[in-house]
Amino acid sequence: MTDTKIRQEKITIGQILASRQKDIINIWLEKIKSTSGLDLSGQINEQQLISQVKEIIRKLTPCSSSEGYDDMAKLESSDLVEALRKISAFHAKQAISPVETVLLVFSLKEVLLKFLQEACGNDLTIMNMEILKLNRLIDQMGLVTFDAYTKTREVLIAQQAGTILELSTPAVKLWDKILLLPLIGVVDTLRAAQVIEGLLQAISDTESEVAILDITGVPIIDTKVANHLIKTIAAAKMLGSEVIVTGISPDTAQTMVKLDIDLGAVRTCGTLRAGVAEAFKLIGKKIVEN
Amino acid sequence: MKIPILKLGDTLLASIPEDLTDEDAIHFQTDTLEKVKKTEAGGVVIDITALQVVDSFMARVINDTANMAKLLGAEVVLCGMNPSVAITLVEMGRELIGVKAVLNLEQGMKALRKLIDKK
Amino acid sequence: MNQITVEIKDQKDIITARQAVRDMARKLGLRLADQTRLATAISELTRNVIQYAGNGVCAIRDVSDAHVLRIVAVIEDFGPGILDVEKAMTYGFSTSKGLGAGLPGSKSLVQEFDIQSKPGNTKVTIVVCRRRV
Repeated sequence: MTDTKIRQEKITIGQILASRQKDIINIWLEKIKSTSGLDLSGQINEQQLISQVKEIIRKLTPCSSSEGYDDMAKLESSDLVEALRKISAFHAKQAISPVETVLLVFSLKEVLLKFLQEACGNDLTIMNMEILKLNRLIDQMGLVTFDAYTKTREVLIAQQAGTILELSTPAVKLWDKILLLPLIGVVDTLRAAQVIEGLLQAISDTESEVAILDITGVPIIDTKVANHLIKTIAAAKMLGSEVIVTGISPDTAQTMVKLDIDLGAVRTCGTLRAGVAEAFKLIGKKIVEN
Repeated sequence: MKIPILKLGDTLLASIPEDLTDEDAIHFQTDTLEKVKKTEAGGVVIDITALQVVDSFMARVINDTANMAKLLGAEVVLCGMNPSVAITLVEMGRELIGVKAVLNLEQGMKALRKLIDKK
Repeated sequence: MNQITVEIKDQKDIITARQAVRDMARKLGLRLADQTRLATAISELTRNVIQYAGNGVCAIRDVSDAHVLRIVAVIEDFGPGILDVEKAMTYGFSTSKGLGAGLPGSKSLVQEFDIQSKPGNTKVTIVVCRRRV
């Protein structure tokens, strides 16, 4: 006769973690090292990995101790989520792949499963229930980790894009007193201020009386971008520089009129060529054929 | 602090120093207008190269001085605005209106000459 | 370089306050345009103190951290206060002959702006913050 042990207390992951913490940590670390597709050796040192693993276990223990521990709402605002986000952000910055970051979290599943099976023994009903809960919990942890990772990545990309934007807006001294400023890339609000300041400083440094602002390379012209342009033009005027905006495509022209964007009394030209001719006119020079 | 206003032929040149008190700014305005009248100057160049900060008060003084001088029959040119100052004024919504601006003193004198000769 | 307090008693203090804040901003590494914006806002707000209250105080604090450069300035006076703050925050409003208290203008130069005003006490708090590059 098989004995059906009657459990006196409800089994929870939290209990298991609390009572077998050291073992779980060690076995998890082993598992991480032996999981294929998970090779963190070049990007994170042993100490950091150990501390991340310990942190997760530490934060997981209290929030997986209560009855409904796989309750997603409870999970959202917990310390565990905060810890996962931090770890994930760290991985993103270290350029550890998103898959590996999530694999790290998922690898805990098998480890805990084994301990769970041990604790449940022959009680299959409870074991099935707990396995379900465990799955849900770990899956949710994985999702949180992935989400945090992508958010960090987006921030990093935005920062890099800003750098690229700065590098790709060189001011070209077209002629004595004429400056050509090609605007390239998406002029997002974050960088717009810096771009405008850079343009004005260039105008001041080169003592240019005419600045040709070429927007051929700006894919999106909306009200925000137009406002940046208007600001730049107004400031340039006070510096003593006339601004000619060139590179407005037929599409952009349509958008601007539809959005009711009025650049005011700003000189605009469809092509750079026309803009350059206009610029020369303004400084009192003319291009003549010999 | 009295701001020296130089006479160069039929034009005046006033260079505003950094960190003027409000009182000095108003004195500057009065002095400029008096000198315009006294010398029957054809024009004034206001040089603000030294100004690192121009708040709405100072912007007002500069703008008003220019407009007042024009009423007295003098042309006015502003030179030397700092790019950072320019952006700040635009962002605050206090751009200078109706005053001819140029980058530096040399351009200022040339522009003033042109304006005076046009009359 | 954590905190500077300037008593605003007369016109000269407007200059002292803005020089102090420009100095701090520069030392912290804020770029020139931001130094100018902040100094201009301080100039506007301390001038308000002189104009509407007679005297007050301007406290400037560096509260930067590892990721963000941050300066907080609190300009406080114990004057009559602004009766209608909402109105004062819209352009073109003015109780005296000038162009108004310059509040909306100052607001556009900083990242955070808060004003509390009641008879006997007006407190404007501004924050300039930029991510460290």
